Amino acid sequence: MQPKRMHPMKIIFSFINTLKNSFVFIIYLFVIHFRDVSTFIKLGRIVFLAFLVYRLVSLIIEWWKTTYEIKNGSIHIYSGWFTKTDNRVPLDRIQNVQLSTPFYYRIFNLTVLSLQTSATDKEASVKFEAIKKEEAKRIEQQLDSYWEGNFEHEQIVVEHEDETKEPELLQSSEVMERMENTGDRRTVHFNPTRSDLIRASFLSLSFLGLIPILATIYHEIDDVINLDEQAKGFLALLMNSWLVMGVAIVLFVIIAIAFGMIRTFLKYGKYEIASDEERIYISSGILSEKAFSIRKENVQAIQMTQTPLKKVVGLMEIRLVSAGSDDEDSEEINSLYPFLPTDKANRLIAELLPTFKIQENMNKLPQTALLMRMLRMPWVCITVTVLIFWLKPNLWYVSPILFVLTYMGRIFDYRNTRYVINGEFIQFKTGGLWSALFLTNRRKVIEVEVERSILQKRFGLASISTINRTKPVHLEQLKDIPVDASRQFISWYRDRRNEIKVECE
Amino acid sequence: MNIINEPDNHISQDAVTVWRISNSIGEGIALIVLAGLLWAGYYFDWYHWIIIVLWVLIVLTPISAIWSVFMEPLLLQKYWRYGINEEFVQLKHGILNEEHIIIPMTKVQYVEAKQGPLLRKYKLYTLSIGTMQSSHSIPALPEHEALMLRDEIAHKAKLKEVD
Repeated sequence: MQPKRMHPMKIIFSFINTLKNSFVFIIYLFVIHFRDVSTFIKLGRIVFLAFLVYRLVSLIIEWWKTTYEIKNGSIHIYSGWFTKTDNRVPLDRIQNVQLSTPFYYRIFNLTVLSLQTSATDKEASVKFEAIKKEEAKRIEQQLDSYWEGNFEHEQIVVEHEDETKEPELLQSSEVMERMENTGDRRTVHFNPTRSDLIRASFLSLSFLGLIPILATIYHEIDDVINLDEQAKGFLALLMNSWLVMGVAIVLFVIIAIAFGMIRTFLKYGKYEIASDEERIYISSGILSEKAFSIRKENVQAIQMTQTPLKKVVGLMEIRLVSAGSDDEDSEEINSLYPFLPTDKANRLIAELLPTFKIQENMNKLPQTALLMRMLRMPWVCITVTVLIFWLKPNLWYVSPILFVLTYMGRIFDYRNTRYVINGEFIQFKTGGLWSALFLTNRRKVIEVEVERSILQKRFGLASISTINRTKPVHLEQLKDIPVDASRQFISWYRDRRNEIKVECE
Repeated sequence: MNIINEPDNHISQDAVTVWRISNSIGEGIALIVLAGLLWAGYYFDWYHWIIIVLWVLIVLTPISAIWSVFMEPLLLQKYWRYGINEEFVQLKHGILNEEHIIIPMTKVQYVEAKQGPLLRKYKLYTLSIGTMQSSHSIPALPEHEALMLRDEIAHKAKLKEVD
């Protein structure tokens, strides 16, 4: 196979990006100082245009010199003009595959393909910034066949496990499921219904997203023409009549809700969670598409989180913690679906990851843990109080409110915290109003720690933490469990030696 | 439930001296820097509150020096334990806040023995053990022990888990 280049549209996309990033300069040089003929502005314009030309040329050269190929079980990306680099990523290191297609990429049938590995340095993830969709599919297939060829023995074990558990579960979930016979044996587990989406759009509070946008627009216009005078007049008009004000507020709320719903529909409208024996596929987006796939083996832990609002309506978010999740935006796609009904969520996990078992009955913390929590120094409160009394004494009432909230939060947290060790799994539930359930397998935990402060020792308590191999480190801590439980935790972890298979490098 | 063998190897007694020297140097430098800042504060007429903060810090330095030179090194040395076996590296230290860390041997990525001028004077090494995500160190080990431990861990860490 000849080394290939990215699609030439990449140059144009990157160039548009540059223009977008230098928006401030453009406004400053060509709009605000439109009539300015001073040397400074002239010089500025020349430098800016020179920069654009340089950027365009360098983008073209970069595109020309960047090639990729797959050979001997690795992906090579060659780049550079003077200093050539050959970034080689072995296929077996690749943990997740992500396709993201902004809507303007779709016009050209292009997509961005990123292959994420678990290594921490920047070179570790491969990003194809603009390639044809077919090409992306071809690379993915190559990856698949590599896995199949190399890990046959392992897959048989996994498949076997699946066969024993899947059939009965399939029957139990009727509505959401249908088999897709598009060549691969993917099972679709979840598509949000219309009512799911409407609930989601209210819950995500995304209509509040309109406020900063409006404020920005207001400021932008205000810079050009002096809006403030007119706005004051407008506000005065609003204040004058309750009716006008009422209408304005209703109008604003309607616009905001419509905006939020459109945003949610675009983002979560065509959401799909599917899986086959080896992988979980999540795809989303109506205008800008995103597709993410992760090997089941690579799921390190599951996290189920609930905000207070979601608790009220019985929704939750499931996240898959995996080694390759690094990008700013992949955080979002690692979430299975942010607004899953609780019962559906549990079933989904049973279907997608039959090896992960969620235990319903969990242990509570001992009463001494509450005492311990009340005795901890509220450093944030103290700092804030000092700052308030020093800088803004007239806001003194913030301090007692903060103290009350902090201590209430501690009580809530104490009452809701649960833990259980269940076979190879450990399960933590933490948080009061915002709660999170964390479930991981000891094989996936790369380090554990038990901590005891002098007070905890007196009360016979300990804090335990687990570290999973992710980017950045996923540290999960559970405070104030009985010492005996912490000993049990250590021996639980030490028993991992019975499960791991070891080979010499 | 199997019995947990707590780590029981100590670090060198000389660690106390080394830490006393290095902490004295640190506190000395801090005092010099603070004094310099205070002088600059008066000379350039900085805000009044900066001067107050600087005075508070200068008063606190000797107190922290008493702790970090006379007490902390003793406690740290007395309660530092480490242990390695075929499967795990264990580190346990601290008395006010006791930490017990367990790292599977298979997750160890590298092991490194380091020494600075002070440690060299006392023929000591600090051993850092790195995993994918974190790095932990065993401070102040006698040369012979440190190098042996390094080789031992390096040898055992050669094994990798298949997953």
